[in-house]
Amino acid sequence: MRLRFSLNGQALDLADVDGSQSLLGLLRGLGFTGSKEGCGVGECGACTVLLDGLAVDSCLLPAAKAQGRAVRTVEGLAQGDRLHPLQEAFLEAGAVQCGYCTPGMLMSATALLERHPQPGQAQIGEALEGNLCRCTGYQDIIEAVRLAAAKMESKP
Amino acid sequence: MSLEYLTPASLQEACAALAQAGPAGRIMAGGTDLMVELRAQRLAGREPAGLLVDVAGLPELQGARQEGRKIWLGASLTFSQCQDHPLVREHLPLLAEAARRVGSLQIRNVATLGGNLGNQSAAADGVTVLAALGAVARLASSTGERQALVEEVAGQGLAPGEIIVGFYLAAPASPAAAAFAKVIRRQAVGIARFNLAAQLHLEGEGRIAAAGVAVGAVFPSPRRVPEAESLLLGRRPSPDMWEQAAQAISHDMLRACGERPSMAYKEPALTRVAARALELAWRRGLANPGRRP
Repeated sequence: MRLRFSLNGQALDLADVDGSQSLLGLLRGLGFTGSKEGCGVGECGACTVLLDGLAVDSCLLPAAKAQGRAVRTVEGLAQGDRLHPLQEAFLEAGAVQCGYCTPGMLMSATALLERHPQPGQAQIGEALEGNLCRCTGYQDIIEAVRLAAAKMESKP
Repeated sequence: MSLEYLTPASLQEACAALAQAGPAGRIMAGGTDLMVELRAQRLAGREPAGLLVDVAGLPELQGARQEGRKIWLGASLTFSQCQDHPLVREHLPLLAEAARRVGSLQIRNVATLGGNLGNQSAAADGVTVLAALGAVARLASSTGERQALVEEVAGQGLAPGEIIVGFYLAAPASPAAAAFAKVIRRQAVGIARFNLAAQLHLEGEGRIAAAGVAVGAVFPSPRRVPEAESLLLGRRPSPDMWEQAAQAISHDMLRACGERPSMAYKEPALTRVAARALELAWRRGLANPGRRP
């Protein structure tokens, strides 16, 4: 099938796409390897991308469902050399160890902060519930989200 | 052979495509279960073939509406939408509460209420809720339409080529008198070991005039427990009553499951969870009488 969608703000027009393959497979095949296959079955969130601003597991989304929609991946967070406040916050808070869960965490957190700029504990918990981390024990990640929220409030 | 992907523009087109594809046709709603199945097939060396028919965007399956005292829920409502939709929050807080417990946010943003029934999992949280609410499913195929109790569809399955269009249910008279419980191995993102949905109708001084109590994952399909419901009716609640009704539920589970090793955990766990949930539903109804939860 022909697949037309926007990826990190750039319009893509792809011919001969297998619509039933996962969006994760399509993205990684296009060289956007920031999104990871941690489990392939929607339990770990390492593949999280934004679809029209909503966090989704790209391993579970057939590529065909991206038709006409806006997809954002971790590669789209930084603007040139300028890191997104969430990326800065993750570094400052020590929220990155092996880094494998980090792209998914960043995308879930991006969706959260765009919807709830000053999230409470319950909202942070709900947003990150679907993202597993084997290294950090989560506290530094939650702290990074709070830190990013503060950064983004002071610099709209 | 390969797997083709069709996104039809209308329910009629979708039904026709499924009729033509026969057994090679599969319905793609949100895809959060089907994609796992397709992946397992590929990993097992069985390359999937046939036609995927994407029904999620069909206009007939969208939205939620109130029509007098009936509520219509489109099959394509996602669980996130069930959490956030003003009509669901006001009239069906039971569904909003259950939706919050389905999968993760990533899954809730895509998975649909109709797909939850269509996937035919015994542990489907949405189905347990719809059963407790006495919901009726509207089903369409190329040969026509029919309506059937969700509880029956969950037990008997869909006919070939049948698409779930949506659900009709009566707006609960005491919407707040409801509780959903789900026990999983982790804090979140788990398939239920068991789930329970209770919707009560309270009158006067907390007398229970009607009760819908459904349990899932410990039966072949989610279903109501009439023995428990009748123990609640017409009585002024007492501490013993919740325990008796909860025991009726776990006894029903034992009859259905037999003496499995897991029953040593599930029998006391379900009894305790059920007693708490039933009392919680009642207290919520007392605290929020009428239509505003």
